[in-house]
Order: sequence, then C-alpha cells, then structure tokens
Amino acid sequence: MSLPTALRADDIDVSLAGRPVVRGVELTVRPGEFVTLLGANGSGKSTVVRACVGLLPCESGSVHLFDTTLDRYDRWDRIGFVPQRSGAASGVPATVSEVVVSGRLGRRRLFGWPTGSDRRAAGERLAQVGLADRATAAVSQLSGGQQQRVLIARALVGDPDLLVMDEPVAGVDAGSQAALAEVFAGLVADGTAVLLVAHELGPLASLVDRVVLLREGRVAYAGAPTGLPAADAGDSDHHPHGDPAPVRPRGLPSQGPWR
Amino acid sequence: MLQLLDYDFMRRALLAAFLTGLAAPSIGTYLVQRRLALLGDGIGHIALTGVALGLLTGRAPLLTAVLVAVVGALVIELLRTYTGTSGDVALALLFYGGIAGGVLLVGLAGESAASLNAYLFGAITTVSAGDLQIVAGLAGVVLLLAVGLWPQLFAVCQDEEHARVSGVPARAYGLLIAVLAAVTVTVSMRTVGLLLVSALMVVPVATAQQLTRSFRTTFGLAMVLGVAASLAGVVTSFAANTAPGPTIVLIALAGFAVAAPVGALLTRNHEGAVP
Repeated sequence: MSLPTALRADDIDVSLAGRPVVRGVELTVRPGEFVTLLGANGSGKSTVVRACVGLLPCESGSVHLFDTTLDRYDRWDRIGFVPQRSGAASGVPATVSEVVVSGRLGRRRLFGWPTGSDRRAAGERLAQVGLADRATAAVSQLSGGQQQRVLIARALVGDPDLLVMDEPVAGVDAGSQAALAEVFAGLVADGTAVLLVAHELGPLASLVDRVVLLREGRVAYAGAPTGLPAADAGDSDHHPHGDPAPVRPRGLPSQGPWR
Repeated sequence: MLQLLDYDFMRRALLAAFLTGLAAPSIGTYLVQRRLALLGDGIGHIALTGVALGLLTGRAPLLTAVLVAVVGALVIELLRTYTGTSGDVALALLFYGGIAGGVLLVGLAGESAASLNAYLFGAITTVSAGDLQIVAGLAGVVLLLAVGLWPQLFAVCQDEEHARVSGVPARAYGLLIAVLAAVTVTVSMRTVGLLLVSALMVVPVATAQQLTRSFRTTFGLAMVLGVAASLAGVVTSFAANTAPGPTIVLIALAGFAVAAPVGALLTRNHEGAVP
C-alpha cells in the first residue's frame, strides 16, 4: 500500500467471552481523514475500536498503527483515545486539570512529574472544549456532558496524530458539539487522522470523509456518507443544506504535513 | 508529656507510628481510587498466615508475613485481571483462606491462637530495634514508589483503559500497587494490627477527600492525617493506658466524624457560588 495509513485493520475477527462478535472487518484511516464507524448497539463497533488500540486481542487478522503491527507498536504518545465511559470520576477527588494532564503521560519518563508545559497544554485544550474556567473544579462536580469534554481534552492534550473516540459526544449539549466539530475540523486539516464511533452521523456529519457501517459484526457498507443506506443515516442533520458532500475529497489527506 | 520520650520503647513506638501513618495512607489513596478500599483488609488476613508460618518455622514473623502477603496480593490481582473474578469475591477468598491458614499453622506450631493477638491488634510498645529497621526500610520503599510514580499510578487508577492506550503497562502497575499494599500491611502490622490495618490505609483518605477537590491535595492531606492520628494514638494510649492500635483507629475515625459535616458545608457553599 503506497499511501501511509494511521490505522489499518485487515480482516480482523474478535470474540468476547468465546462468542464471535466481529468478523472479517476491514478498516483504514489515513492521515487527515475523518472516518466514522457507525452501527446499532451491539453491532460490534466498540469492539472493533478496542481491538484496534490493543485493548482486546484479535483472533485473526492484523492491526497496524502507522504501518507498525500492534504488538510491536510503541509510539503511544501519537494516539489520543476517548474510551466509552459514563464519566471521568473515580474513588478519589481529582481536578479537571489533573485528569487532562494525565493525557500527556505517554510523553513522560518514569519518576517524571508533570511540568509547566504539560499544564499549559492542558489549559489550551480545556479552552478548546469550552472548560477553561473549570480547570480547578473536581471532575465529579461536572455534568455528564462536561466530563465527556474533559475526556476529549485529555485525548487531545498530547497532540495526537491519530485520534480514536468511542461515542465521545454522548450527553454533550448541542452548542458544545458545534464547538467540538470546529476543533476536530482544525485537527483534520492539520493532518490528524480521526476514527469516531457513533450510532448516528449526528452533529459531526459535515466532517465525515468516509463511513464504515457495521451490522452484526460485519461491514455492511463502507464509503462516502452520501452512499449510506437511508435507514442507517440516523435521524439527524445529515443533510443540513441539501448538500451532504464531504468537505474534502475523500480517501486522501487534504494537505500538508501529516508527520 | 515529654517524659514518654525517656523510654526507649516509646521512642521506637512513636517512630514506628510515624512511618506507618505516612506509608499507609499513601498507598491507601490509590486503593480507594481503584475502589478497592478493602484490599488492605484482605491482605491483612493473608499476612496472618505468614505470621503463623514464621512462628512455625522459627523465623521472624515480620519477614514471612511480607512474603506471604505479597504472594496473596499478587494472586488477588491476577484473579481479578485474568479470570474476571470480581474484586469483592477475590477478597472474600483471601479473607477466609488467610484466617483459616493462620489459625491452623499456629496450632501446628504448638501455640494457642491467642499468641496471634499481638499481630491481630498490634503491639507497638514491643517493637524492637531490629523490627524498626525492617519497618523503616519497607516504609521507605513504599513512600518512594507511591510518591515518585504518582503520575503513572494516578493514571492507571483513574482510567485503566486510557492508561493502557497511553502506553502505560497498566497490569504491571496494578501488580505494583498490590505488592506495595501488601508491604504496607506488614509495616502496619505492629502498629495497629492486621485486623485494623485497612483503617489506617482508608480512613485518612476518606477524611481528606471530604475537604479536597484535587488528587494531589487528597494524597498529601491523607498522609498528614495518618501521621497525626498515629502519633496522637500512641501518646493517648500511653497517657490513658489504652491499647495503642484501637486508639489510633478511633482517633482517625474521630477525624472523619469532624471532617464529614465540614465537607458537606463546603460543598454546599461551593455549589451556591458556582451554579
């Protein structure tokens, strides 16, 4: 394959508790490309993503991150990950800033404590997700949608080249979703590869270059959002202006440095 | 009051209390963050088997307790990780195995179960100079790792999956936390005893988080509260002629009883100020 890929899954099978959940899935995300993995609940989309970042083993097939096989991959500082979660809180209080700073761990040595530049980066990302004024608040005091935005800031704070997000905007209000769409558009324009898991195209529809639709663990459709079977496009503002064309030619990095 | 420093055994007791009060909440913070507050208790029960093994073989119970507690802690963590056994079931298995093994081995050693009392409830005034060296060495290791590795340990306890995708070997850190908890249990064994050790790991953390919003403040304040309760407990037990271990734990709990309503007020005011 001549073009570089940020993420490539070839014919992967994944089982959960002995039950095959994902079968023969192919998935490619290139630098500067925004790919959405769509599917109903239980279609296996979270499982695919978790296998792609090494949280679940593949029974067969292979996953490459930046053209390196998963078991040899060690540049985790290039990956930003938003796991599917109900919240960002844990058993002990933590501030919003502390949680976001932990997203730069991949860049730090053992016994290396967070530095001023870590905290500055966290402040900038918090401003982008609209939470600049909540940096010193306890995450547990935030609403579900705000906690979700904290997790997005944590994924962005390491300046990732590949951003993998599992239903990141669940519970996020419409205004914030629009602001996030702008942030993601900027990242993609700078060459970041984005893989988004969602159950409908929703508010980020205008960013999507390519859709991979899963049904019962298999790819049911892969291609431009325009070709998506109508029943699977979701309720949404998929055709806001009657012009659902992606913002850029699909399948190709738009421009510039993708590192 | 200063006259208690005239006694060698009291100086050793205060030093042991200080080290325990510092080390126990430091690792306890991570246990609470992982929602494994009772892990220390389970390891305490296992350590009892280690103590009995020491009595049976004529070796120092402190050392056999460390070894058996570390093995037990690793077994819990591996059960949790690889068999999907839930944390509380894994703990229950340890509780019963540890107590049964301890009492059985003590019987084999030809001693009554009563000889375990010093380990179950602590016997801080009988800490020897040799004990103190072991306690100081182990507490030093726990503190160095719990404080020095806090960014990694915080990330693993906060969100294990995210930590793994950041390239942090989360399973190794999970094992490290379990081992450090086991070492801390043994360090605290002589101070508050195996049945109360978990209290010193968890209660100062619970008290601190009534008043704090950040992880770092919680972590630091819990250690301050742990030291305060430990020293105050030893001094009070000397003055009032009470058992040191339970005195320390009750003072720590009194701290929680004071902090909880204050924390509730703080939270309410804070929410009033920032809608």
